[in-house]
Amino acid sequence: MSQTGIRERAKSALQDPLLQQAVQFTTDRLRTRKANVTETFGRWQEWRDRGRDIRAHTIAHLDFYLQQFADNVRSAGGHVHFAADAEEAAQAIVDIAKKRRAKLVVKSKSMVSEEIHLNRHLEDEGIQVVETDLGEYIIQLAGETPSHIIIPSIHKTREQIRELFTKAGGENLTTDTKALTGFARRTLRTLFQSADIGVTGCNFGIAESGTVVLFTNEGNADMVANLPRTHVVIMGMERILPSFADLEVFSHLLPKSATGQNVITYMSCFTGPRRDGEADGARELHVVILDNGRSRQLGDADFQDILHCIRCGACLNVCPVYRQIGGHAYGSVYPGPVGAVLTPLLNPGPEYADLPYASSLCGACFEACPVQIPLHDMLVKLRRRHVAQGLAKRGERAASRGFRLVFARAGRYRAIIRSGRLGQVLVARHGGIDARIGPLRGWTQTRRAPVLAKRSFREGWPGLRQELRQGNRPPATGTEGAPAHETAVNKE
Amino acid sequence: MEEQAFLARIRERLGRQDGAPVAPYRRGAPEFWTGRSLSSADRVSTFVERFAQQGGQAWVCPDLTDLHNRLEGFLRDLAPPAIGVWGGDTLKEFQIDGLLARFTVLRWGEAPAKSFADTHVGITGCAAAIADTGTLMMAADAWRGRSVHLLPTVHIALLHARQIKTRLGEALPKPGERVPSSLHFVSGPSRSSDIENDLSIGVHGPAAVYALVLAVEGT
Amino acid sequence: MKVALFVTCLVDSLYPQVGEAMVRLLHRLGVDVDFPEQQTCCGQPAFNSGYWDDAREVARTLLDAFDPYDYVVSPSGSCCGMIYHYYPDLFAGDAESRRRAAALTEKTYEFSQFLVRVLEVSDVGASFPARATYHPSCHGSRLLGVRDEPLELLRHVRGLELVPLPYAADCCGFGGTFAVKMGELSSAMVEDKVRHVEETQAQVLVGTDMGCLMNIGGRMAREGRRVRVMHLAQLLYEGTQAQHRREIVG
Ligand code: SF4
Repeated sequence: MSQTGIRERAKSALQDPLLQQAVQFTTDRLRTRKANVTETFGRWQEWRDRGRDIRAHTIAHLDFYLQQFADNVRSAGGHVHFAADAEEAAQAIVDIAKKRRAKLVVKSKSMVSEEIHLNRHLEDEGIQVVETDLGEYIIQLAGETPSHIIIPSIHKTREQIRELFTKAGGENLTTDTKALTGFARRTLRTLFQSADIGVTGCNFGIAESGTVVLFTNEGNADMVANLPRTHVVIMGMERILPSFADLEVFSHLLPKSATGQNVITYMSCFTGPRRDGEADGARELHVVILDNGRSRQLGDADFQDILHCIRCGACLNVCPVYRQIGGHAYGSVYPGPVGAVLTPLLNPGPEYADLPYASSLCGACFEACPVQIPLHDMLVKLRRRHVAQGLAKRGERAASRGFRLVFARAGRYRAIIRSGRLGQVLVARHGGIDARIGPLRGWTQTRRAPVLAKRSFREGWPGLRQELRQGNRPPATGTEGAPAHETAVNKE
Repeated sequence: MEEQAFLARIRERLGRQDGAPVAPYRRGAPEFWTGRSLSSADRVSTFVERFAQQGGQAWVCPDLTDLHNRLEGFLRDLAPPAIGVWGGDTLKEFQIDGLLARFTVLRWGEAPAKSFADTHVGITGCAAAIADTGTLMMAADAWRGRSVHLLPTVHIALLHARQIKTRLGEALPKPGERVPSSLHFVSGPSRSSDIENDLSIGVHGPAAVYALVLAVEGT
Repeated sequence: MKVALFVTCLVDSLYPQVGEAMVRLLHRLGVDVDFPEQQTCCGQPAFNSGYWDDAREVARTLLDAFDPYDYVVSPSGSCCGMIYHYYPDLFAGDAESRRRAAALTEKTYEFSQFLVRVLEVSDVGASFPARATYHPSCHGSRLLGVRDEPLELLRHVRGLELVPLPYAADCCGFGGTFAVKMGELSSAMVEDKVRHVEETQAQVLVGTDMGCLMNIGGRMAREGRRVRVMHLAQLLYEGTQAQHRREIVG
């Protein structure tokens, strides 16, 4: 539960230069790499079109494909659990863990497990949970939450990491990357082998075969899925693809969008638990399928497409807001543009109603999205919904009415301009309709406010028209009054 | 939640009837992609090049002798205390048993699975390889343990040139085909950039991946 | 061809010289624009804040004002983007308005678009000896798809040294109501933008949207920077004036 609003959280993030530097460095790197790899790969827009089409088709027939997926998981020997909400999902996994008398659970990175607060539920039962993705491991030691979908520890410096690892038992560690990863490898290796249960997310569930597909660069998901006796998969219900043929498309879209890699290092496809005669792989496979507010988006023309998301994080990397404040300021599991849309959709009500306002609506997210989710449009539509539900700030409505009163009638508008009061009205126009804050306050604190023109365009129009009608082409020089370059922008 | 209630909710939201048919859609990769294929020579050279881009190293061996020499060279340099190898006849065509005789070798399906945690080198074949992305595909079964390629520090894959496909789609299971319990697509060594964007290799899986591509059929 | 100017409320009240430069330049190119006075604003501020009913009533002034024209041309990619991208949604509820909105969408062009695509002019005969950099506004480029047109026009200006702006596509942090609601955040964004402008060592920052230019220019003025901020129409018009003077004198 977030106590403060996004504005306050953003403000404190802005006062952390180390964070900003780290976030900007990382997102720069990721987006440059993405630009390069998609350029080399070629015909990116056609790939995006295909990706969007496949996702749209799947979600529009989700009942069918989900049923097919579940049936095929079972016929391959796995168990399927359906969870209506976070509580049910966490309970299902806790039940499995208790039945197996689990003491240690190892996990690979999963946003959905964060969404259902799985670690807390397991720890409440006295079960130790260890994150094995290097970045997740780091932030787990720090007692924090991920700040980026793909690189959760984006905000940690190597010195901080060294301290965390030293506390966790690493002796005489330097800040050298090799030394640090070496410590993680040794520590986590022993845990993989002694863990009772491995929990993974699911990048894609293939309906035609009941296959769970996992993408990692470290290979930790393979360890988590193969070494413990029991493998538990937690997945959002939308994570389905109809066929392996479709997986080919996403094997390109996901890593290229996420990190600018041509291909993910490990793509692993699990179809049921190990089979007769096989000596490794989990003996038992459980797939927990989560709704938690997702089904509410189905059939909603404005928001259904958010379920097309493949959690690549590309929208974060190009977002000029995320770039300034990082992931934690969003106050929820899913940061960045996708989070500003998804979080209030999954959690309607006042708590996250301010997230859609943390955007200048620049549309960079849409442009980056491999499945072309119109996030910028959704942000506007969420604001509209919040207005309809009375979740917008008081005073805003009055200001918007005022705007309408003046701007819906050219006569009134002209009168206001003439009377020189437009400055105030422009609070409604560009200053945002917020009567409680003084006109343009947030804006003028750091910028010079423009000066109202002595004569508006429409007031000067009759004269201008007259002049151009009479004059020859090209017009005589020097008749246009103030030199054009003396824009009010630069004036004191 | 009960499965049928869960699915009914989705159906209702989508305005679909139970058992309603699925509309056709354009499946899989775009036609310009599925329509292309590299010549066999290009497949091999592209695979070698892309595999290297992924941080692996691949060599084309004109014959078995060359493959043996290279493998022997690696093992001499690595001097592994223990080597894990796929079991049964899975690597028979590569005739490496003689060469391995000098080493401590654990064979999958014979040695206990747990003991593979201590292998330093894992030698496997592969089900297919993909030129486009420099990828090895391993399919698990009784003789082809997942641990063999996953747990050691160095993974050496032996393959025939004819196993190299142009693109991933050719290697993925076809509709109706029996899918193995696990399929692993590995493109280079284990990597992470989680510490200040600094690339580090071998964080969980192997730190080095080698592929020896046999250009001619085994004798 | 009957062409109307959609001046936008921002240019109308704060930057009339931009509208004037546009009208004069178009006149030079043989296009006499008209200014239907019923127009006020595209409705974006209310729309973006979620008040679609209010936005719709304001937007209607444009439907009414521009009905009789073949073309509508405007100095703002953002306001054109609003029409182009959002009017179909905004008027979705009523078939007649929707038809009129669709008609407006068809004939509305941002200034540089109008020159390059409709008039098929990419060289207006301007000369402007200066080092300049161009900020592509988000809505113009992403909602409306104006990407090459301004650059094409600028490339044809004699004497103009056009230097690429680092992180050009990143938002300047204006975003209308965003700049007020999230003032600190918006400031941080515009600071980055100003820094990138400075890195180019340009004498002139040129753009196609006065919202963004007001934001960036306002920040630079605050910092006492001496970069001239100009709308593309101003630069082109001033450039033709200089050329014209030279022709007369020469
Ligand atoms: S919204 Fe699009 S870009 Fe953002 S994480 Fe999802 S798929 Fe990636």
